Amino acid sequence: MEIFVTGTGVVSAIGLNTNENLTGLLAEKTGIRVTNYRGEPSRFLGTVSSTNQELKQELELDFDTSRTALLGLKAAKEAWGDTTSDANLRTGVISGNSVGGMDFTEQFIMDLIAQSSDASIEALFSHPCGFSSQLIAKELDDVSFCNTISTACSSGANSILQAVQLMKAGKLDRVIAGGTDALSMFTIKGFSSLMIFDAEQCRPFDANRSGLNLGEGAGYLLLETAESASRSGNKILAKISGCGIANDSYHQTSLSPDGKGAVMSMNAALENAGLNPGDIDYVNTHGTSTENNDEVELTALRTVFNDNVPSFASTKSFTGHTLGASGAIEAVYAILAIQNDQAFPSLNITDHLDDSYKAITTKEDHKGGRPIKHVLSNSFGFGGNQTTLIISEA
Amino acid sequence: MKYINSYSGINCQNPLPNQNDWLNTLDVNSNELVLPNFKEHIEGIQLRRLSKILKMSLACAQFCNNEMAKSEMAGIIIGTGQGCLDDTRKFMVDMTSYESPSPTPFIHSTHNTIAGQLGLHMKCHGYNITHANEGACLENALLDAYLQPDQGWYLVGAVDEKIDWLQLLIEQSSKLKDLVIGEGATFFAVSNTPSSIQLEDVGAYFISKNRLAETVDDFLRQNKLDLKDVDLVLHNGNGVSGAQDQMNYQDFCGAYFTNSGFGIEVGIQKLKSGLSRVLVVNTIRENQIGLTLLKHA
Repeated sequence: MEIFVTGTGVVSAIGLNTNENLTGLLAEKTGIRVTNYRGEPSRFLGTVSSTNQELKQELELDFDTSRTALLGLKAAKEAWGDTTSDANLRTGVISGNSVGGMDFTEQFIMDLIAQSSDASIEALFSHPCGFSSQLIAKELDDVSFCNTISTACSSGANSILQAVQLMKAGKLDRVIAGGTDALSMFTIKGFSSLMIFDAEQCRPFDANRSGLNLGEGAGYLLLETAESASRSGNKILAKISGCGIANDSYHQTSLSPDGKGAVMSMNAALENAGLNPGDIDYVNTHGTSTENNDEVELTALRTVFNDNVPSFASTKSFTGHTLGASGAIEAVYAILAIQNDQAFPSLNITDHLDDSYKAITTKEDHKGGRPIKHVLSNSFGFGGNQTTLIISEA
Repeated sequence: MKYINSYSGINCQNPLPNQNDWLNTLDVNSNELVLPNFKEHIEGIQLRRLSKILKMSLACAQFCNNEMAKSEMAGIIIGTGQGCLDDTRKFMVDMTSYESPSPTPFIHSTHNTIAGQLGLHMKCHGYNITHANEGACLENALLDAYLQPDQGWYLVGAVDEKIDWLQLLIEQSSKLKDLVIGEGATFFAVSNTPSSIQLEDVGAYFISKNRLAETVDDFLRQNKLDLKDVDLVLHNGNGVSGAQDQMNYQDFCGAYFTNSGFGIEVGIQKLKSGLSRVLVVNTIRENQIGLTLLKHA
């Protein structure tokens, strides 16, 4: 059974919808800027330009809630578009995130400390990861299934994988699948404690890269079976042709030197798609820009592609690392790559990590202008979670 | 067809592994977890670093793993409503108290730390995922296992921990102040290898519990069954009218998002003591319905 993409929604540091994101990617301009988050020392962050109040108004919500939920709802609504209600189709929402409504929890604690009258303990009900998914499920039509995946930085990709699995098993006909994560003190101080922030703009696959920049955002796909797409009349944009999942089971936060889990998930996705490595036209890497990730991911790519590595890059150099949203945002970028026959580059590279295997630094670097039919997208997470999606021309 | 080949639990009623005939000792006044001696299950160095939720998970998982030693673990699927609350609390306190907080509680704060640590300890490179949708997250995990190919056995875990902050939240909430909150862990080994407990079907829905009766009807009809074919409905607050027999298992384990794991343990005991089919109904979250149908095979 084929699983089609018939809608995309994305909010990130480079744009508030799919079109703005495409414009940003084609312009090869990063959205990462020096930002002062809640009085923290200034850092390079990939912040979404809308305020919570603006998002709340646009989404016509009559209550304050976590930014994770606001960003998620905005992107999910864009992916859903003007899809018609159809009670005969079983509709689901599967959404991933890493720290749930942490930003709102922190706001409550700060209000509490400041003895502000705004402090309501009920704010904590938006803390669990499932809260934002359930808000999206309530706001869309016909939703009779809702699930939340939390596998750290691969949450968004795994939500898409889960949706594909349930649709292929005949349990659901169409699914809004993706992920959302807002910036929070918790993740900023957490990654800071791990000492993996780059003090400059991140440089994935640069020899002198020194860490990541955090970002925020959300990305969703509307996935439909052939029957659902024919009933909805939605235009088919692409298809999810393969999913692979594995666990590195090496260390809680770093990857094994040979990238065992990454090799396994990429091979599993290729096998699932019935494709050969040579069929892949472009790889959107996990590419966090940490020393460990990029080196291991390149090693794994060389293993899987038997040293014939296709054009690869990390769009985290545009958005920052959006954690649980990243796999889903990058799935939208894979679809944009296919639709526009453009490979989006890695920004800020001065010296390549490996001169024999260079990430593309501008879209003109894409090998021979080869048409983009199959994109492989990697998402790796803490806890050894490794997920690979292959998105193809439909 | 999937079966439950082994299981183990940590709850307020009975010590790990909880496999003896313990139904007649159920006590509504037991509110404290019966914790095992973790030293028997986890190495000393690890033990000090791990929070309760990770210790409970490792101990339960280890038990299933030992029982399944002869076959290969194909993957780890965890359902947790709230994840690693204590490490989250610890890092929140540390990050506001210290200039350079230790990263350990941060690293251990994400929901998938449980499946990640289990993967590390059990050297399992296969399928690894964490369902975290508050209500029905165990049912989503079981459904995930139910849909996996026949490639070995899947470790499916349901686990949540209680911390003082959570108790405080419940006490101050107008809606929930009378709720007795609990915690616990139940782990299952699920595979295609036949055993006496068949996982006949699993359903997870985003449907109001006001529509529980029709949801149960539909679910049973899809299995060509009706309520008369179910000997006992085990539920956590919302029974099903017309059921032959019902029992509220939450009275014996407290309220937590994955307490249907305990419900399934009760169900397995009931099947072992002579019933032929039980349905575990989970409505812990008002718009999430989880249904697990178990059959004595």
